[in-house]
Amino acid sequence: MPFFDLSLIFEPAKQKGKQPNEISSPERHSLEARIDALVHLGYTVIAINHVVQSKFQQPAPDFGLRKRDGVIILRRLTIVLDEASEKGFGLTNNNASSLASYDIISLLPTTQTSFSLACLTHSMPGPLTAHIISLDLSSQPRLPFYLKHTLIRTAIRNGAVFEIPYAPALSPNDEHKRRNWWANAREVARVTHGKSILLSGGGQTIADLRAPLDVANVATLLGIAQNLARDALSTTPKSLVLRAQTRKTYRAVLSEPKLMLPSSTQRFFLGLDTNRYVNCRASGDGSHVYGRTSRSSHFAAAYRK
Amino acid sequence: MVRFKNRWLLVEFIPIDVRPTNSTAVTSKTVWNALKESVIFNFGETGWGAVGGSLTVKYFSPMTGICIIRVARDHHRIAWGAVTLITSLDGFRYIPRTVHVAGTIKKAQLAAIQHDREVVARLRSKYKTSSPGDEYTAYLTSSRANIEAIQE
Repeated sequence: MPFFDLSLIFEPAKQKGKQPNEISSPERHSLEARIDALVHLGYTVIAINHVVQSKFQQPAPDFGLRKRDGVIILRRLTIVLDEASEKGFGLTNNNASSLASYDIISLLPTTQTSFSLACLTHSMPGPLTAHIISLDLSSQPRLPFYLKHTLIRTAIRNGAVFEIPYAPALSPNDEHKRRNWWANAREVARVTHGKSILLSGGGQTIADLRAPLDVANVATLLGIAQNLARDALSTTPKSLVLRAQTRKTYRAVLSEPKLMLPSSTQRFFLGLDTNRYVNCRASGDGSHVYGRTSRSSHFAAAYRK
Repeated sequence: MVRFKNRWLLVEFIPIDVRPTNSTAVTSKTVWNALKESVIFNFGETGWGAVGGSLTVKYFSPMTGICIIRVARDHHRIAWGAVTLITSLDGFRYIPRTVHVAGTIKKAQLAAIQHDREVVARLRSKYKTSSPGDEYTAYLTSSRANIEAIQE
């Protein structure tokens, strides 16, 4: 199973005389170095996380990164929602074309109102869905709002995931940050029961990166079950990335299945040939039939998602 | 009777800062001290009480930066978490990466030898040397002997 790190932070430095949609060469070097380190640690899918404060205005520049074999690099947008952004933060149809350059959109609410907005409105399927709800786990000893069960449940049903970035747990010089992280990450793990959780980096430097299974082990110390902790780095982000692709398709259709009529032998195994089906059942061999039906209903369920 | 069970962590320390050549080399004692500090720092006295009795660093190779850590199986996740949360050794920053978690010393040794070979192969392809009698071959032989000499 490939491992995913969906948060390689890119915060463009504000400099005078520099276009905001330009990437400077030290910034690119830092990104390249961190990607190399992540690849060495065993990640194969990496999302560069462009963080903007309170309002989305213009897309990140083309990073112009080196191509690497077997490594997928995605683009992700995170909008930090504060009080100023409660009236609107740029996730509108006017911006749809510039938002289409991102593979994943995520929101980081810091107020109660913006949190319920993120959970209820912006997790609904559509071209502007925010699939990741990220929370600031390290700046305050307790989260600024209560994680209401109904909100969390709605968001998860709509297909959103909650992100736990592990970088603050490693901050060597700030013990408040670490303490807050342990308390708040535990809270997130508690309300989600360990499911629909995404573990990701979220660090600014190479020193903040860790190998996937090490991160999963730290997550078990938060009270997440072993298998779920591992899923939070592999299966959850994988299905998330797939789901995020549906932003760009018509009515979230990913592929067009073709109807192929089965031949008579296949009809027999599918249980469509009633005469033979009865015989088959009489001989006590109905396993094919049940196997098929359950699998097809599984597909149907996957489709409805 | 049931025997006492351990976990063997094979950890690689990836350097970030370049160490000046005149600085003292990292030894297994340094790793043990950093590990102890990290356990107490992150998991407190209770954490150290749970793992401290059995925690030993059995092997450390300064060239490839790998080490083998033994810890009692019951609370090995605390020790593993503490390894992950180490940020520096002797003031120089490192990324600790757990390569393998083994239940017996034998498997840890095999994983360590395998890992050594991979690192050497990477170095060789980087510097484009593949002569059979070079320093890497000598290193592989000696490290293999050292690793196999580890006793429980």
